[in-house]
Amino acid sequence: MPGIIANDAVRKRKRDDGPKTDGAKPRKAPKTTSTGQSTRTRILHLEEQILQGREHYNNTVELQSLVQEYETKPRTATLAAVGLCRVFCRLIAAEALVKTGGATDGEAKIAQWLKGRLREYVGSLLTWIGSPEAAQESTSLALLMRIVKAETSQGSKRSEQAWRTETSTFLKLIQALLDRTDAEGARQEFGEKYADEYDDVRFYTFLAVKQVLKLSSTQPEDISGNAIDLLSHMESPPDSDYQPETWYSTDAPSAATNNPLLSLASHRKAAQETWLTIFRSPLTKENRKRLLTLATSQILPNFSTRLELLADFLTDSFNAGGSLSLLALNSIFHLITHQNLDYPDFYTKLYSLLDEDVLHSKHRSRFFRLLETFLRSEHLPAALVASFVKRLARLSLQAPPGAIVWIVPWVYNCVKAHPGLGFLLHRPYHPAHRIYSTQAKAGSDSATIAVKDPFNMLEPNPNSTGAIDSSLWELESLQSHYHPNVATLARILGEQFTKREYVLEDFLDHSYASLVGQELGREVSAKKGVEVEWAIPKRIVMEEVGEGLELNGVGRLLTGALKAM
Amino acid sequence: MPPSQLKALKTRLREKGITAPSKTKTQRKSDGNHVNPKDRHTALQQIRDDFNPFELRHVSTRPAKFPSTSIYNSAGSGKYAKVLHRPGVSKSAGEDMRRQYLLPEMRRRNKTGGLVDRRIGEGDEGMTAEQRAVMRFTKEKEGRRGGVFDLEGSDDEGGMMGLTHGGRAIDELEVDDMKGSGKGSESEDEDAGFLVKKRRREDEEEDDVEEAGEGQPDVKKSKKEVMQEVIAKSKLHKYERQKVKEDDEDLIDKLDAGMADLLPLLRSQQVPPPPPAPIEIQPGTTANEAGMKIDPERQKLLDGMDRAQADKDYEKRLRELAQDIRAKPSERTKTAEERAKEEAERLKELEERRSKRMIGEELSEDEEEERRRAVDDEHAEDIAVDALGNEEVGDDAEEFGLASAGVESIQKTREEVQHVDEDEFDFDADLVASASEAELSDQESEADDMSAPGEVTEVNQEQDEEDEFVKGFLGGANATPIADSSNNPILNGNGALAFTYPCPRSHAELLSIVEPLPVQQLPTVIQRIRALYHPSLSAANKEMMSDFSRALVDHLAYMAEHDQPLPVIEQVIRHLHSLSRTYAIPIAEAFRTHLLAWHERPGGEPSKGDLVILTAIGSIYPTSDHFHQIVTPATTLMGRWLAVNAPSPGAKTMDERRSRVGAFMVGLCVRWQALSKRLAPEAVRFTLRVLSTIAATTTSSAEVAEHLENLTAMAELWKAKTAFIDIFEPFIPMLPNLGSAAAAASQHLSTLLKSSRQTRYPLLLHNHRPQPLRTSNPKFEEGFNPDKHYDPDRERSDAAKLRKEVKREKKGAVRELRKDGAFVAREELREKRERDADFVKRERRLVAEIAQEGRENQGGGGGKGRGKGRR
Repeated sequence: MPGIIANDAVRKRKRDDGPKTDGAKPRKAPKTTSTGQSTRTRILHLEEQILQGREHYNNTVELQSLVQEYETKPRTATLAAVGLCRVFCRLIAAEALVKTGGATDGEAKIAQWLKGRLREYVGSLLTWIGSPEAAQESTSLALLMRIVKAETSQGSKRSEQAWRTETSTFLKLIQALLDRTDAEGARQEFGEKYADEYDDVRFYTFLAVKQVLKLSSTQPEDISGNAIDLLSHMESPPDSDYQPETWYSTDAPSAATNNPLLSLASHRKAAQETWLTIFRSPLTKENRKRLLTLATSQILPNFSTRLELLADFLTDSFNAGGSLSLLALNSIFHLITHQNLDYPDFYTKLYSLLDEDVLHSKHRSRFFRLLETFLRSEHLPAALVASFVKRLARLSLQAPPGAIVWIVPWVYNCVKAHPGLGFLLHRPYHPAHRIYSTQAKAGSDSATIAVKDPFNMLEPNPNSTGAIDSSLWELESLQSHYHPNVATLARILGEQFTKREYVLEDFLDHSYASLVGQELGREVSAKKGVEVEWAIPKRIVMEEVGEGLELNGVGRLLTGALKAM
Repeated sequence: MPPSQLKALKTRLREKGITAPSKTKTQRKSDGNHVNPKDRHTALQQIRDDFNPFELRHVSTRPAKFPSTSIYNSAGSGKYAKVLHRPGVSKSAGEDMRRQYLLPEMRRRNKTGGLVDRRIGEGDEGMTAEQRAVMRFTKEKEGRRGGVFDLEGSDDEGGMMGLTHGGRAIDELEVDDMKGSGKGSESEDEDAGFLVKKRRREDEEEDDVEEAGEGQPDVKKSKKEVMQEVIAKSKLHKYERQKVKEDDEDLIDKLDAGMADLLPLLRSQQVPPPPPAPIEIQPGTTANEAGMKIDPERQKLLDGMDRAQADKDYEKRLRELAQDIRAKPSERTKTAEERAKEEAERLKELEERRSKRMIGEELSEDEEEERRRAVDDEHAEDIAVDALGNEEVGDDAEEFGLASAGVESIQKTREEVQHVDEDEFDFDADLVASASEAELSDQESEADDMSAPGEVTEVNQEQDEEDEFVKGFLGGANATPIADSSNNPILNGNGALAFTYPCPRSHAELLSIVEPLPVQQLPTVIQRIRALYHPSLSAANKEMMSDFSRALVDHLAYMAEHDQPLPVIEQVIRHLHSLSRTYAIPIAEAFRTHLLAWHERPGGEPSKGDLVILTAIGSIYPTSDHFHQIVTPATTLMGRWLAVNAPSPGAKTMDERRSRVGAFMVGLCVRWQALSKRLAPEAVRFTLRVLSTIAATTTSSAEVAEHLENLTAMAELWKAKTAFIDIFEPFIPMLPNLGSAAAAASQHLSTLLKSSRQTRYPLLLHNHRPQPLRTSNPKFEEGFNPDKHYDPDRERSDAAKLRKEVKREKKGAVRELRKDGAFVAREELREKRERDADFVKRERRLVAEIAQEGRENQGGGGGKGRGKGRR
């Protein structure tokens, strides 16, 4: 935080110099050779003067002009901003900005004028937010929060106003944070340093975000995106027995029983309202994804009363298909298991998610993890589990090795958990089996009749796909997968099932990169040597046709590829 | 009614001839053969035993253990059979011993100090004074006789001389000490039944033997006597040996003497004169005398060469001569048939090896070792884990090489499956070890079998390479066709070609040579370089060539990048192939470097060079192997490209580049799996997606033919797979949209699908023999012996053994103590009785005396008279 450090340094120097301003300056003068040094002393001098009496209030104008020259002289502007911040903090604390009852006309005018200056100052600081320079952004955030602190620390009524009114610095800050898409740094800093630390800041942030979202009309998608970003950096109030007790403003809220700041419920309610507002605002797909990733950890704990609204949102997302459904799955499952949400046809919908893209998507391991959780229960009907097994087996015929490597041990575990699925791997002839009885027409007593696969890939209902009467030919074929490890793994389905269970977590994170990198990362061992084909072919890409030479199959493909590149 | 004991005894004695009716003197003389006193003794003993059945007892109180289960230990058989004990004898022996040791101790109880009289026979009640004196005298005599300077005694006692102490030999002293202190050790010797032994049974047997021997009154020889006997015997043997040797020598001398006469007969040819020492030869005379051509060396020598030098030369020649290749019978020229047969056999062996590799079976001996260790480790791990409550700590995926891949994974899995449920209790280290050893030894022998063909093929390969090399060197068949095909007269090219090149050791160097030349000359250049730097020419060449082969791999990629003609590339690949027989590892590493570069390229797009590298890999390396250091990563990389670049379902246009490269890769995948027929899901997916995209856009492009060709090839390749229908059915609906080009493929595919439908049956993967429940303890033992402990836990069984021993010892000790106590009590009682009797006697006497005196005093004279009378 360079801004803050500078701030401290300046303050310290000021304190030293305070009592003997005139004496100090000449002493320093010889040392200051650059103009920067002289402006610094000038700024300090101006600041001193303002605090000495109201006749010097006009100095603020000069300082303000320095602040606005950030593009040309960033250091000076920063110094001036810090100085002004100090000035205004003192003035606010001295109640110079409010019209007290017995104030004269002149005083009222001065207060009005100072307010104008403050607004101007805040406005210029707000322009700094979202600037590409991290130092500038962070300085402005720190200064603004300092002013917020000053404003909110002047009696309960006025501070309430300072938190809530639209013209207050805090609201303007939130507005700025939400408006500027490129202010990620500031949002993160705000979330981590202020909103997480102080209960009142968090509370009012929720309120402010809600307010801003309601007011804003232009580019609502960006704003809601930024709001999600901002809120994602804030932790939700943790446990139910947590008592809010850290305050940003110096005067603690009154201990009145109905003070919303003091009860966790009202905090939660504020958060819930805000989230609901965000749900209602238009959302891009990206934002939706972000929301869904946050859902379980940050949003769900805040919802105590209006769960159905959240469930609606999740259902919408789930129905949207694709990766959105994957992301919504987790939260829905959480609601089902923890909040007793009745979700009809959950498994049907889950089944519908199984398409070949799932096995290739980057959320594959996340999905697999959830799928394993959903299907772990031994109380599920075997026919349903069989449908999932069979469908995944069918899909694995076009899947990357990373997916097959998970599917095979998962099927193993399923067969272990549901002994009825053993027929998928081993089905000796028996007329009672549907697979045989449907073929009864020719040579009904023979076990060697060919059978038709009773599994219907197009059937959406996992309870009636007929998978339980089928056989896992797909996985048997994968025992001859081109990758030796995958092939070996697939062979476990043909071995005796002596292992109780495979730990699926170990199989989740395999990809092409890991498979190839692992092999190529190793040295070729001189001891084992490298097998070389013993016959040297006469022709590789060419073939002799009559007298001349022509490209053969490989050669044609190769030249085609080479030409196309 | 049986006869009385006395009568029976008499008859028995008579039967044995112990109490014969008294004979006359003449009878006795004529008899001559007296009853041997030994026989007599045994006979008496036997009779005694017969008449006192309680003196003998069969084995102890130990009952036969589980007679129904054991064939060894039923009553009267096995270890406890027929061991006779004489409780009476052992009891009296015990009594004697106690009397000997315990009694003096008892008597000395509560007494301190005193003088121990060690004089011979002192304190021995059974000795008279004369006997004592005689013993002492003889002893003294003996001691003197062994004097140092005693010449007479030195003959037999010379060896016995040794250190003395106090005039006595050290040995003797020790014996004395032992006798004084070692009550236990002596008692062991004297009475087996008295003290309880650790190894009771053996002792019992010994006992038995001793008792059997007891009957014979053998005069036991002293140690010294035995020693002397042994020495005398060995001396005799030595003497005999010497004598034989001398005889032999005499004989040989005699023969040698005759040899001089015999020699001329043996050498019937002329005897070459011994090589005369060079220095003695006079130059002029020798040349004339020999009258033949003189060896130049010899001439040099004659001209005055250094003698030392000459000797050296001579030795060198001799050595060369020794190492000279002698004539060998040349190999018979084989007939064409034989050659064909050999070739066929060789091919068969190679094919066998290949198919073994394809299944992933082949393991060299080293791997075997490694695997064994791995398996052992795994066992250890398993057990450790299972001991902690069946918790799976290890990485499951790792077993399949997914965390650290390896060829051994199958074997591992097999082991894993077998031993997965073993818990600590079941585990018997020996059993498992022996089982796996057996298995291993089987495999080893297999490996041994394998290694022989391996050598053969190597030899063959070398020959092949030599052929190839020679062909190359002569600019043979390989080089010319290219020149012809490219219509570039090789003569022109040759004109520009140099015949020698510095060996290029990096790609840059190779480029500097090759760059200026026409591309078609490259194979010729490579041939020349290979000829120039053939490893047989110099030791350093080997390294140079391995660098050169690396550079060649790089050049392969380079050529592809610069669009050089494929025929030349093909020739380079063939060169690399032949080089990789010798430089397999450098070339493999170079290939892997290229693959790694492709793998790490952002986006994973292959370059042109990579495509050619892939082609080369497919040609050089056996693509059917279960695992191959180069083929496996290459296939995986192709799979990745195909998976990533498959067009999405809704794609409207087909990128030509993707389509062509994809077609090439699918084609390669299919060709690589031609033998092993492994499944490549990505290839299916890619082709499916491409065809559906093309079908949707209905802009039938040129490359559709390629993909259809690939499709047909895949269908043909995997037609035997059980999931054939599931793989290829999705293609059916889109094929009609592809126009006439797809008609043939469609037809083909549907035929295959039909036949596949007719041959598909439900899976029967689990026709395993039902596994018995694992039982390790108690294990069923053939020939179970209840006395033996089958506890597999070594420590526990040892502990049990020890406990049992302690218990037995304790019991024995208690019994002994009890007996000692009884003995002591008995003795005390006896002494007390004696004392009492003595007391009573004395008292009586005193009383009598007193009474006497009283009476005398009372009776006066009358008493005197009586008293006198008594005296």
